[in-house]
Amino acid sequence: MLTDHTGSGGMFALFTHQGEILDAAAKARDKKFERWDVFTPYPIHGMDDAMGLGRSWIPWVTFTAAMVGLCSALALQIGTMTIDWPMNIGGKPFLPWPSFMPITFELTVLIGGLTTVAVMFLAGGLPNLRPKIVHPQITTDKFALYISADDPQFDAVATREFLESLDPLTVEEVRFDR
Amino acid sequence: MAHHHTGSVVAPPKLQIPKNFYIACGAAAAIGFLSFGVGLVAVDPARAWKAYLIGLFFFTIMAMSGPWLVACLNLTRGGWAVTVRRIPGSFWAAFLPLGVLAMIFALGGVSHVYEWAHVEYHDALVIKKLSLLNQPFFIASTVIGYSAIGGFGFLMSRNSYKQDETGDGNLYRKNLVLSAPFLILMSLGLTLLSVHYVMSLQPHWFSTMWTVNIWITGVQAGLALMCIIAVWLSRKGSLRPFINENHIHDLGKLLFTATAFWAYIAFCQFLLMWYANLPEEAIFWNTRMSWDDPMSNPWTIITAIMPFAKWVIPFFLLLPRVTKRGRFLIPISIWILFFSVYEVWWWIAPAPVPNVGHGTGHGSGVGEAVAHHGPPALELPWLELLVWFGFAGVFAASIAWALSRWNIIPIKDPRLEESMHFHQ
Repeated sequence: MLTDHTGSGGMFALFTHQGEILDAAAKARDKKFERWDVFTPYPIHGMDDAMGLGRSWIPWVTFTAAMVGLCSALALQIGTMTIDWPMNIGGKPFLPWPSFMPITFELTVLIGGLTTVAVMFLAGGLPNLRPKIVHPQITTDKFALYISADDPQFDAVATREFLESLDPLTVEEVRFDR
Repeated sequence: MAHHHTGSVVAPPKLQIPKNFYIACGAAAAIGFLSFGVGLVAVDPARAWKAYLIGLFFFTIMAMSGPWLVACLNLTRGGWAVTVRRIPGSFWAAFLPLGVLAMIFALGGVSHVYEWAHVEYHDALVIKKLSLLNQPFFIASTVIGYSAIGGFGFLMSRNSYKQDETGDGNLYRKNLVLSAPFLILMSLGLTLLSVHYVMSLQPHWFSTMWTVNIWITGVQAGLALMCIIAVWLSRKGSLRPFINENHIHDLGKLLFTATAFWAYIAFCQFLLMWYANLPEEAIFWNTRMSWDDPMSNPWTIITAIMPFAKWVIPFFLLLPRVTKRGRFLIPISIWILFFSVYEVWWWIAPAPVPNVGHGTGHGSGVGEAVAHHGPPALELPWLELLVWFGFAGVFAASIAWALSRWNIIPIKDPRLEESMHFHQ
């Protein structure tokens, strides 16, 4: 992520190597900051652990939505074909569950998939047409550790001291123009 | 990640297979094939040969999954799997003994098991298929199927073994050239084997999804075995830098995929046949279950267990992340292996056999055996299990030999470094 959703500024340290940013992220995690992020030009293996991100909650959304899709598909078919207006098709039973399975499968996948995409957009704050970029080089060859001013532990002096202790290239304050 | 020093990797020691393991394999093989002999003489030749077919076919389709996965990894440039690729890369070794055992079946067992081998049972529908269903063609498909799958599997693994010594990067390119035609030949060879060995047990019956069903059952069983071996190898101290829990996780994900795809294929095949209800398609199901009067056919319960044992239970067990990353994978894989054998038994055991001589075969041998003579008997599969152990001994000894004969890690593979640093 390249953006800061809070818009209230903060402070970042810039690094030149991915090993440095992994160490820095692990130290920020151990300091128990709450509103902070790491910006890198490419995905870095092991960053989830270094930041202490834990597991995503999105799979539970997928599972729940898929179950809703499954139940609504069965309700639709059993309601119309078995309860409301039973029809004899090819001499099959009035509750021909095998022939209900394709639609049940499709609606399970459809509702599960579409809901997951929608929730991912919501959770990621997308679409964001005017991202606030901390430093232009985080998309090319630099790595940034950013701590938001909204963080409960944020303190202009102490946070700068912490970031300086990580031995970065620079430490800069962020002010976003509204 | 930008630096590749593949030459600097220190080879781990070769796998040591204790002598007792081979003795156990030999004992299993002896028990299995002695039981087969006893069954042949004292029980019922048709049942003994079908038990032989169950063991033979189960291990054939499981061994097929090895060269198949190696070819797919070659073609997709699957760098993640380099450190575990020698596991499927050892399955080719089973094809030589299995091919010999298949040839014994093709020469000696065919007339005991298949009604199309008996001219006195031919009806109009079977006569139309005799250009395919005859013993010379059966032998030809055995030769083609086993040599195509096992031969290409050997050639691909041999290039990899050579690379351990020479470090020649071109060997990787040669394997690409082998992998693509192999996948086509394997599909054709497996089609021949699945039609001749299993589909023709009920010669009126046909299914265009049959080979896919057989392929995915073999892949599911093969991946389960690969997961067990990979978890076991990852516990060895000398392999700790090479095989980590992320490799195990990806093998577990493939096992999960195979489980879901098996359900998809098996259900699709059932749905279309159930819906169309054509006699020559429905015969497969009418042999194995009764929809209207479930208790009239003892196989109904065996059939009803299948979707739960082969899909629902392993699907939900493999769904969480934690069960795919370590020791939980072993009991789940054993479960899947057990029910893969169960499925092959379910394909083969209830099919009617030609009622030759003194045999106590289930049907008259005519395709409509079920309609005329009631459902097949459900016997305790003691003979089938014992004979299965014979094939298990042969298979286990073969791949243990291949795993320990060469390095367990392709030590000069161009993607080894990438695989060793495999993360998520």
